[in-house]
Amino acid sequence: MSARLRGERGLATLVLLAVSAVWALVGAAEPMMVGGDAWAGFAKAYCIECHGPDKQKGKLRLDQVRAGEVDERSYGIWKHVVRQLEKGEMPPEEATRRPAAAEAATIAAAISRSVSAAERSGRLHAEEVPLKRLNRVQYRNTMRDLMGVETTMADPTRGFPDDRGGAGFDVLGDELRVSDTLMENYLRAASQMIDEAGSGGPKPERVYRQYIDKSDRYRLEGGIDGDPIGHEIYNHYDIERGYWTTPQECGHVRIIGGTPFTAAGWYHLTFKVESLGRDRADVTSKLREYSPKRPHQLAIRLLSPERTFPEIEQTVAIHDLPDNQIVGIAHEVWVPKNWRLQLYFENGPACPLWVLYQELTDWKEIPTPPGATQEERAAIRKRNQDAEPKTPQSKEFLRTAISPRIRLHKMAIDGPFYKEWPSAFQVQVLDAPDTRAALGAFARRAFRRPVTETELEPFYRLAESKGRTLAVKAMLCSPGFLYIRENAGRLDDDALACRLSYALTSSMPDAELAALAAAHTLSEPGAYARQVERLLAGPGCDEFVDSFVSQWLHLRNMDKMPPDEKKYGDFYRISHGYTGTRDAIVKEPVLFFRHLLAGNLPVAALIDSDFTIMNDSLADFYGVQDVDSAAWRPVTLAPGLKRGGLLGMAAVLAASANGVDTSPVVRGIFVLDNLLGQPPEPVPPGVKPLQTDLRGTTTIRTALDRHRSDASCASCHRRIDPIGFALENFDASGRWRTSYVNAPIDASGVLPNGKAFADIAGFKHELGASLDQVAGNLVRKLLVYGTGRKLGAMDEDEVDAICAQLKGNGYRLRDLVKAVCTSRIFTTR
Amino acid sequence: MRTTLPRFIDRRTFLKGAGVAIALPWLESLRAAEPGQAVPAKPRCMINLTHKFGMYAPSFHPQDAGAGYVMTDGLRPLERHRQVMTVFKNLGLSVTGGHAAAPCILSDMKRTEAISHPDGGITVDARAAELYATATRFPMLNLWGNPDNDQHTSFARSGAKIPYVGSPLELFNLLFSEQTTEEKEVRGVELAGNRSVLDTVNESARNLAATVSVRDRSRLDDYFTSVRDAERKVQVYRDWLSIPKPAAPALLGERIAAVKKESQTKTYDAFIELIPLILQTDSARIVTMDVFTNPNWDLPGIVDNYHSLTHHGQLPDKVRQLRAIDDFHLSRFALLIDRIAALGLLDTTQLLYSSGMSDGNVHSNQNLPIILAGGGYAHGTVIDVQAKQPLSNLYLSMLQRLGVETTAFNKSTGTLRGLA
Repeated sequence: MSARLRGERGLATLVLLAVSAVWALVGAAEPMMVGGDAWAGFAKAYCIECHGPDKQKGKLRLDQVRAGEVDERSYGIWKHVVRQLEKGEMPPEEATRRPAAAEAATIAAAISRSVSAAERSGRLHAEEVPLKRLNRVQYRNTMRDLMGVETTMADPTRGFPDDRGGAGFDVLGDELRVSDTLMENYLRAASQMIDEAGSGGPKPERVYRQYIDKSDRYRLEGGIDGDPIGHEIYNHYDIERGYWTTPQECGHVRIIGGTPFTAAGWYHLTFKVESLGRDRADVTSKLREYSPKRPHQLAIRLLSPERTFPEIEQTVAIHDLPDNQIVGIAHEVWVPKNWRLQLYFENGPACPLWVLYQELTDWKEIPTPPGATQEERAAIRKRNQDAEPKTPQSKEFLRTAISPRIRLHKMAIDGPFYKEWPSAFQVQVLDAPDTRAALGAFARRAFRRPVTETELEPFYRLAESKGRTLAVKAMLCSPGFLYIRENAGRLDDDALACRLSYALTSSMPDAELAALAAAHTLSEPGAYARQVERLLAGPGCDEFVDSFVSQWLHLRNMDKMPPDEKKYGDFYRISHGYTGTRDAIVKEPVLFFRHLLAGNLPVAALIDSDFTIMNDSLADFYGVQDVDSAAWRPVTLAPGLKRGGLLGMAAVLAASANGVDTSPVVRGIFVLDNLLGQPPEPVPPGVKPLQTDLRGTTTIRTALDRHRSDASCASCHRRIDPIGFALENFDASGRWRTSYVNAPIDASGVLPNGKAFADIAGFKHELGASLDQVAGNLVRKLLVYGTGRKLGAMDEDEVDAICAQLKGNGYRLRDLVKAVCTSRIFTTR
Repeated sequence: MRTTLPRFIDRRTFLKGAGVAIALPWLESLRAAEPGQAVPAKPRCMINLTHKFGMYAPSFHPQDAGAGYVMTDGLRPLERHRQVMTVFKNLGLSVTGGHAAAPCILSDMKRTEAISHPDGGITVDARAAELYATATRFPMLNLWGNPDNDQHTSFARSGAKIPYVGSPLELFNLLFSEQTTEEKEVRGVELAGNRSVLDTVNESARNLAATVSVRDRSRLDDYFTSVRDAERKVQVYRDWLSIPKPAAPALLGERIAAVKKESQTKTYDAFIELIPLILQTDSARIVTMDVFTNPNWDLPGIVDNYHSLTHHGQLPDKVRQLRAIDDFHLSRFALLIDRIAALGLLDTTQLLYSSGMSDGNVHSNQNLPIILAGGGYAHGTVIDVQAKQPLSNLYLSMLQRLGVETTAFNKSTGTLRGLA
């Protein structure tokens, strides 16, 4: 059995492993006897009945460990035994024989002494951080910073296999494998990045193209060759294609007749647009899937030239437009070669235009009578087609009818231009006169540490025989670049800079951090702490928050099992743009965490809070009034709303469901595992699964009640199910509900400690008592995320120490992250 | 893995292919077989058709086992193939976890178990593909699928995912679209460059390995393996670059290009049309089609989301819709059997229909819908495994039938008893 199986949550996994492995290894350690015989007698009297050869409750077996012997593997068992004895939880009250308090205390003290002696001996070592390769996000960002290229649009890691996530995070060294498929991707991506970063050849000519609305026509004209571009963005007829589009494709303009983006580079995009028709209640009231409540939104997107489904697109910006006035919009954006520009009426009416046309005129489709011959059918089809609003008259009608629309008056595309030409990469790496010096300097940055001549030799030889470009490509595919190498023990300055930078920005150290590391001054007193502060305040920190929170709370589950579009339409409200509501839901926990971090607020807010971060889409979904803007801001929650804290967030509630229905068991485990860090044991084999039957009146609660009357199920399910019941008022999309299809919802429950609650509010109140566990769990998750290894029992003392240090001040989040980053676990390998 | 010899194949076999108007050039197997080597007449092939949402259980499994079983409603679309197929009862995964376990259908191993398994929890299709290695243009083709991390079904020995060919058009292009001479030249230069780069990084990794701890060195193992595998692939690409691709049947490309990816049934049909061509052109001998879990099925009468239909709660309207989708799956499997038979390849091609979940309403991974057709077995029966043999036993039987010399596969305890 390999060490990597050791669980970061310590006991459950470790104990499981210890059962089979402990005996063989215990013998190797030099015994440190402290009343070993006393333990044997005590265990025989009180423990072995349940944790011995016959039964192994909780997968714990105590007849094979000796009190005097402590090593890495038995360490966790002893800590557990001491804790249980000190708290008086074991043996349980219903046991036939229980020791006197003094007897238990004596044996616990004796074991503690053995454990402390072992700790002091320095022979116990915590798990070492494995060699880690860059994960996908780290690879992309490192390429961006190393090569000086934009990777937002042309992402070099597209096509990379997904990184396997261990312990919920995609940063664990042991889980990040390399495969031939990935290697082929590295070869391709390296070439792509060298192309983008280099500036060999003539500088592409900068061209100004302007498209102006000739208002008597349907399309704008302009550009250098008078390239036509689509039409006024008022509805869903796509002139370019010449057919009615589906709602998803509705209301966009795209440039036809050749891309203006003939070379990769920076471009100025400017638009003059006007939002019309939102105030025409006579028209808007007839439109389905349209809400005049919100300003019209113009979305500017760039699409990859590759033919894929769905198309690869990047949103440049989404603008709320003021009504009935012409406004200017300008963007400076890096566009890869041959990409396409599209403009969308993001929250435009989603009904096909012919519905609008039918509503506004007396035009009606002629129905085909039953039994019509083929000729008759064809004739009717023809008449209907002729009558469709694509005739000049009908088009004119729709153009002038004041339906909700965005009118594009003018558009200009200016570029490409370059912030430096030739690029720094071209000058310093490809064109520098001395090959050795150029490659050596590049390797120092690419490998993020000093590089020896021996290491560089193969690359020099390749440069000599096949050219420098190929040598650079080889560096970008070599383990020096792809792996994060760390020294043993306390990290040296280069390794520490990387550890911190990848944890807090998902990229290589920036110039300031790298300079401190190179000068060996990073570990000077105060310097490192200042860097932690600086990175937490910097823009790169968004990467950390987004990546950490979305993985910690399994928010990506929502893409795997998205809420059913038909059942949970609100989740996909078109009036907030096609993905507006969904995106807002996913962002809430991330922005909430960011808010706690920025304000250094207590993590108790994760359990419950009287505010959350909202925009109008989310407010609509929650039924909150008076939030009318797309801008995110903290909003105080009315007490009756039952939102607040992570468990009030639709994202968490949807991520812990399966897109179709909810299961109290799944959600209960989700909370135990991710919030409290106390995952229950896996399901024992041979359990008959729950069969949902919606025909009768059986609710999930009655099914589970039956289930819990079985003693073998009850031990875990009395912990799991009440939590899930408390969340039953939220459906699989996170909406509030008060009944199932045919039965009212009962969200009450009784916790294992006997505390009863009536609903989610009461449950969160009870959960407040578990603040220490929630904070401790967060510390552990952050340590796993930051170091790339799982934690073991050997780390528990330091986790406890970090928590103790933070508790007095109410576990403030920025303090907590700083404590994690400066801890011994984080700063050693 | 050693490369096996290209197999010689009787060209006429492929001219019998019904429904394909023109003869396709036969590729590497037209090369003369090495003297003294026994060569089978036809290469043995394997096709997996698998999906993740299960089948409506009350309609699927026959009540009785043996040759005299009464055909069920659920199996009706396959009735005409009764004599060339075997249905399994009470055969399931050893892993549990509902949706999470369903993607383990082809290995019967969770990825966490796979890491410590000597064969890396390789899936049956990838294991089969090792047999032919470079004998075909593609060692195996893995079609459609969900590009999502947790839903992947096919894994190589290294634990790497076998990438999906996501659309019929992409598959068509792989099979038939020839690059221009210029494109081939550019590609040739790129491949030569890649070979030099791989040499260099290999040397660089050796330098690194000499300076790191034992544990880190073992972490570099999969880097070295990947470089070696990538080098081999570069060589294969270079070899195949100069061999022309077969010509496509007339108008096929146009038809495939017209298929909209949003249409689940048209995409399904296009793949079912292309899969026999993969075998006919000997572009690959191992094919897995992992049906994309599209929520929307463009079938008459289907209004609900597929996933929500699998949670039918026994509601009659939902069951009706789910049954229609189940029938669609099996009717396409039936069509695939027809087409492989029309090519004269049914005796040498094993077709496995499977789902990693039994009935979605239960979310169980036991008693799965599994049907084996073709491959020259004594079919026409229902084998009730009574949950006494692991699924790996079936895979071991299939691998041996294919010609893989092995006595074990993942959790096998032997070949599947009752299957001959």
